[in-house]
Amino acid sequence: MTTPPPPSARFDAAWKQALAHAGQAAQRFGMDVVVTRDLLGRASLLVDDRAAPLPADAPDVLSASAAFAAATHPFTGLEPVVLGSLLFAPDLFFASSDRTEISASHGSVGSVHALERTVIGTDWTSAPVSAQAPNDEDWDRRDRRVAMYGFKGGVGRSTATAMLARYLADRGRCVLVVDLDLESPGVSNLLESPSGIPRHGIVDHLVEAAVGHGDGLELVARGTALPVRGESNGEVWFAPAGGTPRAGERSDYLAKLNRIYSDLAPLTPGDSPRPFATRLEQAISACENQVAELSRRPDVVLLDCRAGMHDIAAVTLTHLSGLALLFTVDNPSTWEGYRMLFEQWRQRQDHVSDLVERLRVVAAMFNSAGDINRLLALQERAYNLFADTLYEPDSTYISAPDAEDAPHSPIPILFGNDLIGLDPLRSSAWPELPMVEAVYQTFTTTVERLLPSPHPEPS
Amino acid sequence: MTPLTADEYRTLIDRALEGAVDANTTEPDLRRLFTPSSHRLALAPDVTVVKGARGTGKTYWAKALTDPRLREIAAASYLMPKLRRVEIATGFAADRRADAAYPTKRVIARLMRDDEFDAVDFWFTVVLMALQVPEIAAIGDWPGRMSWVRDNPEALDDALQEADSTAHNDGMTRVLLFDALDHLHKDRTQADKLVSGLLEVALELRLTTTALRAKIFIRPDMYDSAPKKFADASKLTANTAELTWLRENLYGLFFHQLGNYDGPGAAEFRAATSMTGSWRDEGEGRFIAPTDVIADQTRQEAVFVDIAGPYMGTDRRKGLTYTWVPNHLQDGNEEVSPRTWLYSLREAAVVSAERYAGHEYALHYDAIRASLHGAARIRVEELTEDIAWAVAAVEKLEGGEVPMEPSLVIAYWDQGGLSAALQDLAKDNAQDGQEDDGGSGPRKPADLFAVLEELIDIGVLTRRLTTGAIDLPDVYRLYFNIGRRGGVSRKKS
Repeated sequence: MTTPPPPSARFDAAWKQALAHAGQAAQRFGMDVVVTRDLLGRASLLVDDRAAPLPADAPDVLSASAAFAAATHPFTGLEPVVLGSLLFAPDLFFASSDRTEISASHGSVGSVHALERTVIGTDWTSAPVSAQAPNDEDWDRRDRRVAMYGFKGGVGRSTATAMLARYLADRGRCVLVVDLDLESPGVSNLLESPSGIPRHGIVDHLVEAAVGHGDGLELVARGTALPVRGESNGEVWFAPAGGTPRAGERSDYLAKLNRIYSDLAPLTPGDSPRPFATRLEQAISACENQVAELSRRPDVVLLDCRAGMHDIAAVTLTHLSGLALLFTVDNPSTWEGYRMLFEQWRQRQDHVSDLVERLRVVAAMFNSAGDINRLLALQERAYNLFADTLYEPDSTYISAPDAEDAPHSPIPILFGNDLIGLDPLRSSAWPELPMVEAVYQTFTTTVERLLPSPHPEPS
Repeated sequence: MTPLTADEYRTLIDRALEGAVDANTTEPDLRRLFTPSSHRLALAPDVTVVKGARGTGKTYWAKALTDPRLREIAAASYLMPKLRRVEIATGFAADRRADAAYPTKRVIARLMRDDEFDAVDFWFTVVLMALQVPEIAAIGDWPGRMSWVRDNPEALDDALQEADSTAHNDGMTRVLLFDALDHLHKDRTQADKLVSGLLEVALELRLTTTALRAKIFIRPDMYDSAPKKFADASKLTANTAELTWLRENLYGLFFHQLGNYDGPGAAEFRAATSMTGSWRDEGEGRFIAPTDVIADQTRQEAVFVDIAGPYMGTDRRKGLTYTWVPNHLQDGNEEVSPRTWLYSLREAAVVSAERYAGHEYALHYDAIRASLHGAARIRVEELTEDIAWAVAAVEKLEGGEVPMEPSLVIAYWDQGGLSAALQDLAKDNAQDGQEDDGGSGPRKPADLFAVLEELIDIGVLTRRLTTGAIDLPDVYRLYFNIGRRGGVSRKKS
């Protein structure tokens, strides 16, 4: 005969319980409460009793602790309830800018905040790195970066990136494409042959810069597969995820990849910490600087981003880009994915209105096949999603579901069956085929209008 | 010449559009008459049916065609010399003169009451009156005239043939205009019957004469709902034109008004928009803009950006002014009435001068936003004149939120007593026979689901594609107290 195991909560249920108990504690003690969750998902309650310290063995505290542990088991922190007055550095928790408000304080009831501790912090929901100050150089850099993101892979994102780069270069811009698909780096379709890949890549910068050794890497190369037309002075540059070493050199890509996703302590004591977002930003900046040094400052930087809810996508969309193109196909899993993402963002209410204006939906590989209603249906689903999650009731966007320049209104890439089987890698003339140009025309011209003006000519 | 300052632009817009926004009380005039390319076919003498929603310019063109000078302008602008060889008579219009060729509404209602007369006979009578055929003009009253037409089919044919050959020998085409058909009859079934008769007569003229033509300006939904159970009816449908206002037409209209204003600023505006060619001086103060200013969207956007700035806010992510304004004035059929359009721009100039005088552009983006409310009022006024029942139906949704389930719409109408209200409208001042009466009612006032469909037809309501819920375009919603569902309230940090 076996004893049945004690009831236990799964990951999501435990978090729900933790938040509920936090609310009860905020009421019972009349103090602000922060719920933390560690790397394994284990929750603790932090009660801010600094103004009126509670005895650690007070019956109220003990019973709250026991109830919390029972409700959240096995996702219970090592100390279920922690009193702020006993903490070494309470402001790390009670004043952290990474907190997400669950409920505000009202009357004698304290506020409740959640504070996530994951490997790379909370980049999906945290505040943008650089403050918004037009004319500021950091701001200008961000403004020129375009994130190309698809929740689902295989929607033609990389091809669209190449077509966009080519188009913008034809129109005279200096374009840099950065491959942020670090988990599955490949030969870019911007290069005619793999031998054109530079010696180092983004991953190299991340590991080298971590130990203060980022200078002198060879990060970028000219795109060769898409010759720029005419007299436009446009250029295409490419920065790979990982470089190709010289003959005889070793390069252990996996070993580097395993070491990049972390927030690092300051290199020199007293400096500010280096979260992953900042490190990735520095890697991209290094690529931009290199293009500027070899030729001129890039006017546009396309960040070809990994699919899914991945840390790199999180950082790129929320922190590093001035425009984020969200590739969608009209199927339930895509919408469900974006809904999950947007609901995360919504938790950071103070930054949502800034973020939402930087988003644009792209109807990827859209097979219109004679029915305009299919695009309208996609637009409507996108509208419903934005209206449910990111739009505010009184914003302009909410009053115009059919507007053509709202974040939700899809920019179509009209995919036709005649494109199936065409391989952009086989022929550099591919983008010049009339039907291929027609497919991307709305996409390229619309995105161009969303970009800042090129840098002025150097005098 | 120095470019216009923001303030000079505001003054120019305010003054130049002052008359244009009262389009219904102002006759078309020589300087301001604008000839959008998409309206060319509508004026061709041999195009019988011209479809146009409320506010697209049916009455405007009907009036312009009756004025020889304005017709000459159209003939020149549209390269349509045939317009110089037409004689125009009016077979029906809203502003009836005492000596008109058609009876008052009250007389029509009486004539149609007992099914004694047929709608086809009625319109043949009107045609003969318009052609000033002596036999019919000699008869003193309408029942007498109609009896004559009914009882003398051969004399009718003879009279038509004679008028035809006279016109033909003179090298002229006699065009009979029919406008404001919303006001034929309060009861939509009767109105449909009358329209049906008119279409049959128009086709008859087309097929049996060479120089007599009808031109019928009509709302698309009225054209669709009129029964066409006569031979060769499809020939009419093949011969229709539509009055539409594409985005470039709207901007062309706006720029034309600015360049043709009779006062300070207009010459500077013409100079400022003459990069690709000068405005052509047509004499008598009339100027025609270079083609790209009235037809090329890229060029138009550049001109508008000088006036309103490029963005609907501080940067490009807020939307582009050039597309934003027309987008937000659209009804459910994606149509913008030119009067709403000009009103909105003028209002934006006035509000900019009051609240944002120091702004670098003439139109401030927040003033443009604010102008939508006034434009919505103008649009509802337009609707009230011809399709008053639609306004009554939307009013009953007050306090609700869209998108709204169709069943909820019906429930609002049930509770609000819409059916009774529609019946009242149909009776309302039916006896005075005046034209300012709100037009005919819906096709099936007793069937609320049919009323809903009809509102979608005329673009007052829309149906969301994926959910089937009922929505209301902003150009109507902003006037009525109807909210929009959705959005996440958040506190500002």
